Amino acid sequence: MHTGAGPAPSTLPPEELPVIWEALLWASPAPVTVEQVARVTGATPDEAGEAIEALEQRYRASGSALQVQKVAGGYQITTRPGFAPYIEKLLRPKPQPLSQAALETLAVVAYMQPVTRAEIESVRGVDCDAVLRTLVERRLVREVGRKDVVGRPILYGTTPEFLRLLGLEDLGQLPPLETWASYPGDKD
Amino acid sequence: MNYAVRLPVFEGPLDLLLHLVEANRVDVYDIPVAEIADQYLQYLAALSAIDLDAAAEFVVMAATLLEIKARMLLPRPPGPPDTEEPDPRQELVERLVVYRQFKRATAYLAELIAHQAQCYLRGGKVPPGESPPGELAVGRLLQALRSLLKDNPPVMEVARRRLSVRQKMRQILWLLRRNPGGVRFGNLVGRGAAREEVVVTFLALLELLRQRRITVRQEQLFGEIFVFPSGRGTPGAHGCGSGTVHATA
Repeated sequence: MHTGAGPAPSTLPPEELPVIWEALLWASPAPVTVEQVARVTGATPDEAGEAIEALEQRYRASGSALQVQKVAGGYQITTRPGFAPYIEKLLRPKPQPLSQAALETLAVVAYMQPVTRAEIESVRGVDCDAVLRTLVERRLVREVGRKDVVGRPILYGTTPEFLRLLGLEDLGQLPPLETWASYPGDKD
Repeated sequence: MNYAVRLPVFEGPLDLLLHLVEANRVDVYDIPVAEIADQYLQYLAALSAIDLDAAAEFVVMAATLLEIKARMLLPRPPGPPDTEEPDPRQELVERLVVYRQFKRATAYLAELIAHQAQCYLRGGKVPPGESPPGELAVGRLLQALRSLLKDNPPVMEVARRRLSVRQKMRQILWLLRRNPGGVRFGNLVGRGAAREEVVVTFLALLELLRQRRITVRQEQLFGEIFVFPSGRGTPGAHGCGSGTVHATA
């Protein structure tokens, strides 16, 4: 057995990588990245990337209740959507959903970030102080800097938790804002 | 007055305006301002009858609508036709169009969130964004103590009765037996209690916590702290159950 610092490089049978991924995903409380897996296995990032695809494929093909998801730049294992009703019956009730005001503010921050409170308010036409604080408290939004204008107002942006809440890999997965400019039914 | 009014809830004046535009099936770029303004004012009248505060946010928009309505009624000044004045509705329309985009984006985000909420992480998910305050740290308790001390300023009076921590522990346990549903932290000490009593109560609480004979929970960040007899303070047993915390000292 190899001892000392780090695992032995390139002695790892490639077919073991997906299973190692599985172990890491199962054990880790946070999404696991390709780089992390490469680091702890000694595999190259490319090999780690191929292995997670293999694991994903394996879950899909076997009809497992589990699925591999890519969120917030890493991977996680979750149950597939169809099982939610049973899980909800077993576990405690769901947490308080976000209010409409919170969702709206979240959408504005997501698309306009980095964005100041005044800018959000000019879009929504209402005071956003309280709702913004709630979003910061729930760690969906955070301060990302200060705008270089008079008063140096705080700039807000979304967090990795935001991506996890939405099941997104990164912000680039959000359809561009223009997508929502017109619907087929619009008269314009 | 004893009547209930049910009004659709709008997120603000733009939300209401957009609703009226869509309900009337009119083109957002060609809003019949007179008509929409009337409907807007009707809603506003109903709203201000029940909630003046909320109404305040809508009043500015009402004024804007009326101003646009007035400007559109004014005859155009005679002049060469190519120096056409801008449509008085233009600025409002631009805001509405932007708002509508975000409104649709919001609906999309809500869909994503609803879908992702169906996918559970191992151990039942710690829902992202639901920031669990974690174990109730002693620091939080100290904060509560500080605010209690502020509420019970030192009284220039020598307390005759010497309270022991042990005595206070018994008192607390007795109180909890009678109130298995939990007792507010603030209620463990009487109003106007001597500083000494506040401190002794706090020490007794810490000791009971250490012995795991009580649990302490807090429904929300900076919310009221509740004290429960051990084993009773199961999460979800009280209130909405969001952000329940088990304290271990």
